[in-house]
Amino acid sequence: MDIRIEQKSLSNQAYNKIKMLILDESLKPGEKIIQEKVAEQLGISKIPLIQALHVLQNERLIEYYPRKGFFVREISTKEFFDLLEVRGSMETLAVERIIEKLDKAIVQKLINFKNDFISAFEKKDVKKYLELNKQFHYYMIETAGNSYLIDINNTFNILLLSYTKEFRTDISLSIEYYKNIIDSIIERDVEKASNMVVEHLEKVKEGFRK
Amino acid sequence: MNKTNQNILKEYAYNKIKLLIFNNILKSGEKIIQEKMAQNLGISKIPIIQALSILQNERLIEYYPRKGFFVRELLYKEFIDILDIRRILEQLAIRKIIENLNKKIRDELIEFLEGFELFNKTKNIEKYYELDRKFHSYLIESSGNSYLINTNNTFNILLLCYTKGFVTEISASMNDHRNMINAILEKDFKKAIKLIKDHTENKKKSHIINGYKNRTKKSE
Repeated sequence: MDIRIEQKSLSNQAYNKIKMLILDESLKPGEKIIQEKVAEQLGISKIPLIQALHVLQNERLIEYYPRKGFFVREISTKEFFDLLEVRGSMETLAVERIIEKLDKAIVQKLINFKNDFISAFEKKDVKKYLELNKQFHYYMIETAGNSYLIDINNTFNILLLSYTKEFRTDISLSIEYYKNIIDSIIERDVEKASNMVVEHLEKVKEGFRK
Repeated sequence: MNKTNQNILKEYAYNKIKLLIFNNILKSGEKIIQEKMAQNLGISKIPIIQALSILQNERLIEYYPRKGFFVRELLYKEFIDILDIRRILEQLAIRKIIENLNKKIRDELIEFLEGFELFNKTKNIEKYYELDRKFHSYLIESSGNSYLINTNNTFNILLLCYTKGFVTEISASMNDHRNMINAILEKDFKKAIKLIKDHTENKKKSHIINGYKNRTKKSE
């Protein structure tokens, strides 16, 4: 019994570590995952490692080729755009629901986000800005109160995958959108907020094409 | 047994059990007795358990330690959540279809419309609703967005709407379908979006009227 719990938490840890390596592109798209090497790096045996790889395979972050092994799955531009479109739809719904349940606490939280965004932008603190960006989008998905939004995001790593690629775009593109999205939520302007969400992601696409 | 055979059995069990749930043969809240299921399907317990764990991931069944697997009951709130997800998926699908509208898609949409009109006129309810399912899957598939398609499949969004929801009355549905297809053909995205939204809100209302809200979760 104890051994099983131990193994499960080891595979969980391996899962988190490898996922991070993939998302920050320490393990590059298309790269082979050499089990012996990763097991040694993480200081674990191959069994929890393989369990972790299977979970990541289910999440479509890696793929398995018989007699060749596990590889980091390459995400094409088309697929990345597909993902951004679904993310746009999810965030449109989130914005709608948040406006419906808007209260003092949410307004305050949004104002804090806005101030932090502006201050990070003015200080040119890109790291802080991107961190806020992440927090803000998770906050929207979680605050919307639709459990399927959270599950879809987790199952397909929608937000996480957007970030690995979005890092390549310029932060000066997004600051106006964030200000506008937050303002229109506070003003309860569903249409404007949704348009901003979709427009922002279209800009990300455009920036990516260049 | 080799890996391939194991996978075949697992998939067989998965498809069978899923069908039993969606056809309401296994009812909401009902316990899934593994031995019985294995016997009914004529396979061993291992592929049954593998299939159950996939269905658990899809949130169709749930596991209680020391109690076993049960068909998960959808609460009212959750059903509303699913309707909203279906709405945003279909809105995106229609956006993509309008963007990529060509002769082939046009013809297919017109064919759907003619089918709906025919089954509505001849009061062939069974055929009508069969076509309805095909139409909504068609919209999702024709979007060409892999994440959209995967989200629908993984979370059984359309399936859950059909089996756990109340069906829209046929003449109202006919109207909705006619307007929807025309809006797509005219590339009127705004109108199409609004139609889906109204349709969803009507569905939510009909659930409240039908007392879905009062259905409470059975105690374990």
